[in-house]
Amino acid sequence: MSKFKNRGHRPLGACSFLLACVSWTLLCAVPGQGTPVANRIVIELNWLGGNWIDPDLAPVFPERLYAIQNRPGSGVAGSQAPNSKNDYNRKGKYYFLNDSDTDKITKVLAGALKTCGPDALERRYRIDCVRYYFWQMSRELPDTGEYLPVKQALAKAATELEAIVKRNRDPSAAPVRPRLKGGSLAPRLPPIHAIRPEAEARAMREAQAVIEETATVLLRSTESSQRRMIHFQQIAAAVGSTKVLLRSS
Amino acid sequence: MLNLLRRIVIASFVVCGLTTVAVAADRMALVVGMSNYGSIPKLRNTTNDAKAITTTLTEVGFDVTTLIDATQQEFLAALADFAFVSETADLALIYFAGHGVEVQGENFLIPVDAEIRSNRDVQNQSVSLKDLLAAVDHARKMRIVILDSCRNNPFGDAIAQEPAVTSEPTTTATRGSAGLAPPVPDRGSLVAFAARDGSVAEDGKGDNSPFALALIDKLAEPGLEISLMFRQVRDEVLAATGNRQEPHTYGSLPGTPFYISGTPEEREALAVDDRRLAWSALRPEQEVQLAALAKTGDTRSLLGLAYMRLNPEARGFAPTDAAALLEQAATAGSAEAQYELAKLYETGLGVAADPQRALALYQQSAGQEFADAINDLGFLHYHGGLGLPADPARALTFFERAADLRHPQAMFNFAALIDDGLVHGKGPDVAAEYLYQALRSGNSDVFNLLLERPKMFSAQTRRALQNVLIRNAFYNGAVDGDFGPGTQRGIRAAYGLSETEVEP
Repeated sequence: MSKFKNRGHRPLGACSFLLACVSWTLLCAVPGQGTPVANRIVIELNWLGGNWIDPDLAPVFPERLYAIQNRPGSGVAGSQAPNSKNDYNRKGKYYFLNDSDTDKITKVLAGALKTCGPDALERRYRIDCVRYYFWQMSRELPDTGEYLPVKQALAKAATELEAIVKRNRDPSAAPVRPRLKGGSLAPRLPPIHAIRPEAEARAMREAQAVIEETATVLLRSTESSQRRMIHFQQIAAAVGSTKVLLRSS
Repeated sequence: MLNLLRRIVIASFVVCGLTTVAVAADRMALVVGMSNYGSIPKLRNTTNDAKAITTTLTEVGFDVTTLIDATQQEFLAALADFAFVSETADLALIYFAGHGVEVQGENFLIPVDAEIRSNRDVQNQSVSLKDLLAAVDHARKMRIVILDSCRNNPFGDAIAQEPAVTSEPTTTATRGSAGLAPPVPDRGSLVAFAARDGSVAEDGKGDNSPFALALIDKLAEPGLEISLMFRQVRDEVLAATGNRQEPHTYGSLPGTPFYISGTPEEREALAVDDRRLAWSALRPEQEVQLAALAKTGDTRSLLGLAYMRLNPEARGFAPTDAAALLEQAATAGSAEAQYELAKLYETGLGVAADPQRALALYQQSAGQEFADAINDLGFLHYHGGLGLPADPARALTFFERAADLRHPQAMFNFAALIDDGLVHGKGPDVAAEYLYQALRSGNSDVFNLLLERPKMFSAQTRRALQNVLIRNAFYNGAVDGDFGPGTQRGIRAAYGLSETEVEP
């Protein structure tokens, strides 16, 4: 089983998601401070990458999930501080959505498709496999700041997927321990259970609903972040000048 | 001239002294009632109407100046004062009850001292609707003129028979007689007539006109959004007059919602510039009305629904639906919808990101002189976004165009580039004037940047800005380019904040 670390995690390599990264990047330095204050990267995650739940259900999956990423700036006019003490963790750190942590989500998701996708695993095991990844992602994320709702949504999804698996589990099918991304020498996941054949279609529909709901929560969360960080995106240094220029709000 | 009874009641008046700090109200009104005319028929109910409207507006939190039976000079002076103080208001509203006539397509409101014998007298002795629109023009969010003024023809045939004075006569049958001409206010301003152009409004059988009664009723209704309010006023007047009188509005309100008589929560929702949050404060029963209007193709209603669906914290969060609503309004020609849809295509929210389509929509919106789009095109040209090559010189033309439309960020951007010496023939004085106007227009980024990072601008521009603050009585200290506590107080005051108010 893989061990995830908190920082600098580069676990799963290339993914078979259609991961179209970096729609555009806006980097700017605030003169006099020398610190990057805006780093906006729009990451497009295509959930349809590999018909990973059910080809028939694929068209109704949320087509894309956008994560707006930002680095927290400091001392920028109009920037908003976190709302309360509860927004900080024990070390006094507030987590905005940021490259490093969001990278983790996207990479784990990419790994999920490889490990649980049609090339690696029978369809009847797929829901439990996805359940495992949602649970893993929920554990990975900081439990403060803007990540809290994301973490909670993923944990809730994992719990609901687990309930679906429990209700429909096929006791006659042996659990499997798929290797990460199907790699021949890769670590294995914990035991993953199968769904009864006659319950498969309904269980897939239920799983789809859970994932759709989760995607909506993630989308809301990143949208909120976009609003919170709006000043960073909308103020950019004028080239070769001490000035900043403003976009319309 | 007859002995005129003139009475000016100033319910509230903001006085700007060198040491007193003007505190802006977020909603301001000038209410005018002309009743006791000297040389033309008196009107019975207009004074009552003005007083009743004053009471209602004051009760719902307006800062109201009331003008009863004013001469032309008094009327014009009050308009000049109102134009200045309402610069820092979110909403500026003028209500006029009295005689009004149309001459050659232009609407004139008659003061009590007018002695009208000809078209020329009307033009010289009255106040034009254009003057009223100019007086509300600088308010930050909403600009409204309400005319309850087309009650009858005060001049008989006298002025209709006059030849054209300054231009070709209009072909309307109402010229110089009863009724007013359809006005064409700028985008973001609304003119409400008590009756459709060319028709007469009733003075009413009781103490108030049917239009004033409906207004009083609806202005005080808590949480009623302003565009829906005017719709409901129209319905009420139609019902009260047996369909004889149909109030009508001209021009378009901006996409920002406004709740005239709001609960503290609704007022708070308006305090943020985020239209998504502000629209989400709409009450459910009004959402039904909004949806019905949207079905008829009303672009502001489509926009309102779209903003509600873009609020990530609302239950109805649905970016894809929002994009569809904006698409419909954009196709119908709404410049604001084109701009908002462009943002969705730029960021890929609710639609697949499409830089080319985003750029095309920004350009379409800018083509209709929508200042947000023009400024963003300046920004995109400057930095080279959406596939455009970086072209600062081209960007300047956009910033200047949007700045001259009083777009706050564009005024700041243009001032910044003037200060960098990039604009031929424009120096620190011009830059300072743009900065001052940007500050007056209520942009919090501009306010914060001027307070926190004034040294972004050259010493000459900083001194020029201090001079502008002195000229407008917001500052009386040294012109030294040093933005110490005195200058900061002046900047806060010009922005519309008192010394104790918290920054936005």
